[in-house]
Amino acid sequence: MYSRVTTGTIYGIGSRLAYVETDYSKGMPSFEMVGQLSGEVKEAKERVRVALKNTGIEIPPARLTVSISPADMRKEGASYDLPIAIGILISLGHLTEQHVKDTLIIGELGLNGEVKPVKGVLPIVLRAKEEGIKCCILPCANTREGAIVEDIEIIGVNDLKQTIAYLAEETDGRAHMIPPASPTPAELSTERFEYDFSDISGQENVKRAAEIAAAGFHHMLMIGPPGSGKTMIAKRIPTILPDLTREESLEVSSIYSVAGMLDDSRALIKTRPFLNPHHTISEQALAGGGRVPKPGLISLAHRGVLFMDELPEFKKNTLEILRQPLEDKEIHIARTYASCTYPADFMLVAAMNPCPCGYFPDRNRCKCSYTDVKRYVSKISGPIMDRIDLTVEAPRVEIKQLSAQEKSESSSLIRARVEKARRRQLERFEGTRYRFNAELSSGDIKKYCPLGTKERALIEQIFNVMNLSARVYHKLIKVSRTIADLDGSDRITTDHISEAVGYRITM
Amino acid sequence: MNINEEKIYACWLDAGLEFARAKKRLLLKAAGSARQAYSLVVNSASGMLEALIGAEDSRKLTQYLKTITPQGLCELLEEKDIGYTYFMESDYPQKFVDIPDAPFGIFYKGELADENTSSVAVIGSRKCSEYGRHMAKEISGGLAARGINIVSGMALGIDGIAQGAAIDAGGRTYGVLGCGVDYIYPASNEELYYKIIKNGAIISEYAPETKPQKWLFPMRNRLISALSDVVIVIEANEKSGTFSTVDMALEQGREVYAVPGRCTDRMSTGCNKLLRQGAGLVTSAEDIIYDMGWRDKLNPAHRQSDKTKAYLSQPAKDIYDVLDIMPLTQDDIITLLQKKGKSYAVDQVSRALCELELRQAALKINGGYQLMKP
Repeated sequence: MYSRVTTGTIYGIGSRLAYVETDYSKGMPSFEMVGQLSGEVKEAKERVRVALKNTGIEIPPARLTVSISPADMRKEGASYDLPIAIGILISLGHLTEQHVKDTLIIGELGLNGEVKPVKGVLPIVLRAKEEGIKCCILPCANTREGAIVEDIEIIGVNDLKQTIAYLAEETDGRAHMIPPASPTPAELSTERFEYDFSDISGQENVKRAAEIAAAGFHHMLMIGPPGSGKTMIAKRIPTILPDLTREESLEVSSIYSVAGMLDDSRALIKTRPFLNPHHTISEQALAGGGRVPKPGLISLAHRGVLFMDELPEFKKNTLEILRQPLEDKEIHIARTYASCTYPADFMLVAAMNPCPCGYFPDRNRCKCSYTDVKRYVSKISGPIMDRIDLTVEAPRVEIKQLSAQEKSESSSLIRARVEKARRRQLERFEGTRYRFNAELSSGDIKKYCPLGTKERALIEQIFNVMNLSARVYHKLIKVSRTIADLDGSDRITTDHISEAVGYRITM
Repeated sequence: MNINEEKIYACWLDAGLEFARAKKRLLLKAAGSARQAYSLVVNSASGMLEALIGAEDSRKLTQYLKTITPQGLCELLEEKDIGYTYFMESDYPQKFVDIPDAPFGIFYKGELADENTSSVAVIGSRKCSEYGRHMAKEISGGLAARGINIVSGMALGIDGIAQGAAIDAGGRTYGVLGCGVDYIYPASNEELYYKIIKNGAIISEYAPETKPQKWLFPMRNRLISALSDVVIVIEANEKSGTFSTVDMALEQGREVYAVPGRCTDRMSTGCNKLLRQGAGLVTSAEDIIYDMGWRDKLNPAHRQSDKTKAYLSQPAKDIYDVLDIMPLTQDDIITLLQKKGKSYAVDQVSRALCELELRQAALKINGGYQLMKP
């Protein structure tokens, strides 16, 4: 007899529905599985057979064929165990197709019949809802993640026996047996930041630069000697970024779900991610990779902060990977079994020393020659530098400053200003693809950032006196626009421009 | 090309005997002229040559004759556009005549200096601070603008900066190399090398195709000081090679000046030590002009700070007062203002700094702001 059970499979950070088809017919006893299956999916055969036996169901000797469609897509992971088991049960006549109508089933099986958690539940449930599935049967440990999606019934199951009993139950009795999971309470996932900007005394200019960068989602570079608090500031930037919208939050959570990084205590990601890769990181770990690609760090930092400390110490190839995502806000990865696109819309916060020893231009401490300094700075290629809108110098911190008692502004105060600036940007860009000033293309700068006669004259003077190159121009206008937004001003004024010009790079 | 027949042979002898300066002169004097000296080499079998300069050097010369003939060398010089003069010629720089250990001859690219123009050597270490860079530009540029020639070694750091500034100011400058004049050393000064040829000359006592070698540089230093009336040390620490030039200058009776630095600056220890030993103190191009009695070349100069300040806004004035010749980050500036009891918001400071930059009273460089018109 033939049966068909709906399940899902991850594809990039999205997912597709997949179908487990089972046929049970007479002939030489065998158990065949087809559909471009990887090793762990093929092994499902043994897990399912034993799990069924231990649940008290013997598979009679006959010819069993399982096909997972679409057959042209590589299948990975152990999430097909449960749908295969249910498919076999229907073929054997223990259950009927009616029992699994409009139902998506997913889960890994233990030999004792226990249902274990799997990766990528969130994108699969999101997809199921779009496709009109009414009920999702998930491993118990994944229910919180699944229940983020509203208006779809989420049933968490502990073992195979319970699953069979649940499916065999009449529709009315089901809710009594396992009540559908209630929507994941939002406050459960509200993570608290461990850090706050009030921990940092002094460094007013660096903090101001961080505020501007956060408000306009500008990439930012901090240059300063060792121990000047660059890392401290970077860690606190997520605390002043505007909150994730629900849509963004689902997007980020989907990426983490695919990467297998969601669990019960953190089912929905509501705070902006902060990732801090060490400079020895491999290209694949940063970009994403594997024969079937998995998201890399730049995708895990989506809608959040990617902090790259000691920027020139990163391998050149690793840094160059950032070029495409910094431009397109996503990364295309082609590997042996699949090619896919992961979102990578992150805010790059980079930090570096001014020279190999770290103390340039303090000639009393710095022993590097000009050539050394130049070579060090030139490790970061032009295309990467071009995409960094703000550069700020972090000074060496005096001991006296560290012991100063007065507390400075807290993150929540700064965030309030950032949120205000963000709202102005959302209003301005309504109906376009833009969300932040930093995203403006050079063509649209004229449209959204008109300048008056006085402002244009100032810019001309600035370019002449300071000998700036043309590519600084667009950065200058975008940063001025953000400063104007923080200031609550509709127009960019000379004040905004003259502040913005201080954030150019002069190394 | 300015090469007459005598010069061709002198040049050939000069290049052939390489570093044996005394023997070149001995040979020339004994033979009477360069041409006769050359015929001694051609007829080396007579034993005259060996008697004059010893077996080893005469072998070297006969060997050299096999590599290149005087005519061949002349063609090579012409091809590379290199000039030559030696001590018996009228275009040989008169400043060399009275120094001990004067060069036999010099190779050059460009045009030699007019003997009547005053010249100043501006030297210092290869690694320099922003302060050194600034002072080298100010002093060298200031002197060059008043028609004084700048002599230096085209090295990285102070030397190159001073020569670049002289050209920018529209003056003439001469670079003495420790290798052949057809060698661009250091290679990173290539652009400057061609500029110097256009606005002065590249000079060397070594034959073309002589590679830069460590031990040649102290010897070329004596030519830098010899070509100048005054030697100014901009920035050097105590162990700097600059002091070999200073020693030569004193030996040759040239005036030595030094730019003072802060006592705590590692890069200025050498200059400060020179000052303690009695070198002249120089803070601007005008100081040299006054001291040397070149007043006819002096333009009326004023201190610029008061004039600059008159046009500034109040925050910009306050910042101008705390700025220094060492670069300060914006946060350093805020801290310094606070110490003076003046508190400005960050964006106010940013704007005032932009104003100072536009007035060219401050400059953002190497990640910090520094004073431009002290």
